[in-house]
Amino acid sequence: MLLRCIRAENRKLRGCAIWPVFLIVPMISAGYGTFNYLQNLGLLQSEWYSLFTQHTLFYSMFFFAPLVGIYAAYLWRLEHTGHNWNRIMAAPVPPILLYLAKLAVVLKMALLTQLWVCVLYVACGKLWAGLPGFPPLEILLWIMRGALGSVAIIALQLLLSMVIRSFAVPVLIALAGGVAGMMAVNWDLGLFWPYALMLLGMNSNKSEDALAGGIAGFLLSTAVFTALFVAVAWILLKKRDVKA
Amino acid sequence: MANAIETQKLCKMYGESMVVNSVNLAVPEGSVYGFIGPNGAGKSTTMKMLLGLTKPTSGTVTLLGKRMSDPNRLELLTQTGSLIESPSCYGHLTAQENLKIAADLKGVSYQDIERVLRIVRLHEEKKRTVKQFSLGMRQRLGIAQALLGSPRLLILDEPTNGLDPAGIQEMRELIHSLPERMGATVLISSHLLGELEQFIDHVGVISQGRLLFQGELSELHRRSRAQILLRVLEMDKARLLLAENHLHAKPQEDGTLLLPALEDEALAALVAMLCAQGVGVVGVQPQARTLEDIFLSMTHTEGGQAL
Amino acid sequence: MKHEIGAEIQKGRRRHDMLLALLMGLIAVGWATQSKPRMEDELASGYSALLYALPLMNTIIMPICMAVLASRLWDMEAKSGSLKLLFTLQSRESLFAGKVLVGMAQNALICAVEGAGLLVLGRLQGFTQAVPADHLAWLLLCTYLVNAMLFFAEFALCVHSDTQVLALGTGAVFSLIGVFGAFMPPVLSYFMPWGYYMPLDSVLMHWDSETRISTFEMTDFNGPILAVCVALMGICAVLAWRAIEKKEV
Repeated sequence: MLLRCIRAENRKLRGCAIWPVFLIVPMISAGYGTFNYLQNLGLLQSEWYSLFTQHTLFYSMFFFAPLVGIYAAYLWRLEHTGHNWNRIMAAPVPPILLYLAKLAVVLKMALLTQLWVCVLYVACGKLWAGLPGFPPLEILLWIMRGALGSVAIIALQLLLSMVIRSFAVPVLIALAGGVAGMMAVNWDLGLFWPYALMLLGMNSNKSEDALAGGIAGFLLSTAVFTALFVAVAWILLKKRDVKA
Repeated sequence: MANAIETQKLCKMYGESMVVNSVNLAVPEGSVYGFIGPNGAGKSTTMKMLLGLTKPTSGTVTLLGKRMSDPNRLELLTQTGSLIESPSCYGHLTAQENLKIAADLKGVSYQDIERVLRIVRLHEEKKRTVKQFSLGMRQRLGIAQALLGSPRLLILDEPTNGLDPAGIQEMRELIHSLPERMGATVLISSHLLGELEQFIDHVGVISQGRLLFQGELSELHRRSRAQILLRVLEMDKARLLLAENHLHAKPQEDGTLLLPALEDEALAALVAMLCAQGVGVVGVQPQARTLEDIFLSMTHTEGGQAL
Repeated sequence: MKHEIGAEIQKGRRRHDMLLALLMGLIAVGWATQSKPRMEDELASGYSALLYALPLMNTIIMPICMAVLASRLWDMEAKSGSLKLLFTLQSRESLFAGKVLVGMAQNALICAVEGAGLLVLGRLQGFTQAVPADHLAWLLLCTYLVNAMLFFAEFALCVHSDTQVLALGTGAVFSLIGVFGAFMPPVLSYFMPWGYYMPLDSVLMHWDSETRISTFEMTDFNGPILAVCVALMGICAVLAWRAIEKKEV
């Protein structure tokens, strides 16, 4: 059942102009990051680690959330216009599956983006910056953690775009959330703020692992936030009247 | 009678295809004019050109006696109300607020809002935001917007589109009452002739961008009266006799003759005369055609040969 | 014209776009509270530090914010299909003028919030530096004009495509490239108009890596870049107008 919904969501995305953005943004990030790394070799002395922070700092701090926000807004936009709500709520599937299917589709995009970040990171490090050896396996783990942290952000953005029938407002909230997330990490409150989880997981702002020893807290926070947003979406889809 | 709307050789091309082809519309003042054609025949494009929303490739539009041009377009349109395709209303505003916007732009006083709300029977829902409205209610709000300021000319494009049967009936009654109530000229389009038949007095039929018929509805009705299929033994003799009686008979492929519609008395006299002259009348058969038949035969053939 | 603007304001009811603009200003101000000067020399250069920091924040925030404002203003027309009614009631010029007026009022509110926030912050944190009024005014003027340029560009995109994806996507890409431009050699940043917040910054920072102390220096206002910015704003405004003029309904 869920698979069928996911297929339907995938189909709705055909002809959407957004995927190039997901391709381009990591490339800009990587290009700039490598350039900046090479310019500041005096300050950035941790080789692969330093390159990683340069590659992913701004991306995971400010841009990941708005991008996911645009994506989520687009998916819900299709339902908000053209009286699609009536049809969907009348479709023979529980409404929450619609939300979960969208979650799966956005998550797929986020995972592909992370993979792309990873490829660009290794390629830039080896071919451009000429770093010795290969990046530490630890960094691969960080990238995977980042993807995990992104689930909470995606769940929240999908919830916001479902409730707020505006394209742009949830994207603005994502931007504000990202700025607040950076502050939360500075105050060591990152685990209590969903928009900070990606940044924390990616460990983009430090060379040492900020989550060393605290991975359980990170996992718990991600799980709790994600569950919370899914639950709210579930309740809303169940309780709210259909408004086309 | 002067024409409220006139177009001369109005054409619109999109790329290579001629969507509206040399249309000479003439909508008499005070008439309710049904503009009929199948989907994609060029109705909406024509109506958009009447409102200056789309620029004609060639040809001219004259509204209320004045030829429309860029500088005088808006001035002419202040005397016009329109609803094109779907209604244009902001979902986040109430019915009343939507009308205030239209009133502001038309330069009409807010007092008129209550009046048009009553006409379309939305005065009890005026404080609700439009996103809670049903499609039928939105459509009625669209009509209310068009009615603001009592325009002399109403241009309504498929106002019953997408409505359920009850909504269609409601809309039909509403539009039916407008000419009396407002004294305006109404141009209304539909892809179904039957939908408008009860309250229009003039008809224009458009298909593939060409205007196939234009005139009074009664003229269309006259054409719809039963033609007569005559089967005789002596075909040539019969044609000669009919011609002497100023009746044009069309020979059909199956060896019969098609006569134009006749009153019963005239038909009886004709048959008696033919019998007396010994042409051997084998059969007389009325060929009834509904308006819908005429419409279909017009729009299904190239270039209006059916008429 | 009075009627057209009245209608535009009426449309904004229940959309809370002014509130959004307020929020946008507050994002920047909230971010600025992050620097907490305590030392005497820090307090003595408090305003300089903020004037130095705000342009970078604007570079990150504003392209997306302007895309949001432009998108909100156009989206309500696109979603409601109201153009075919509006264009029979008002000229395209007056619709464009109404949108620009509202957008620029929102822009002005953002700048005012930033300016006021900076002053309040200085008061609360007890800056000992006198308010550098000319540099503050310059910052707000530059922010307003770069914002306006971005607003027109994003508005043109919104009108062209009707979907909001393009405008918000470019907004995000602009801000990302803008941030990177900020750390590139200044010459490169001249080629990135959407990040002009940075080259228009009238405060320089010198960071002594030995003593780990930053000092700030007030520099001349960069007139030529502002002129380029105004010219580009004009071009973007013309593009936006063309988009409305050519819009098929």
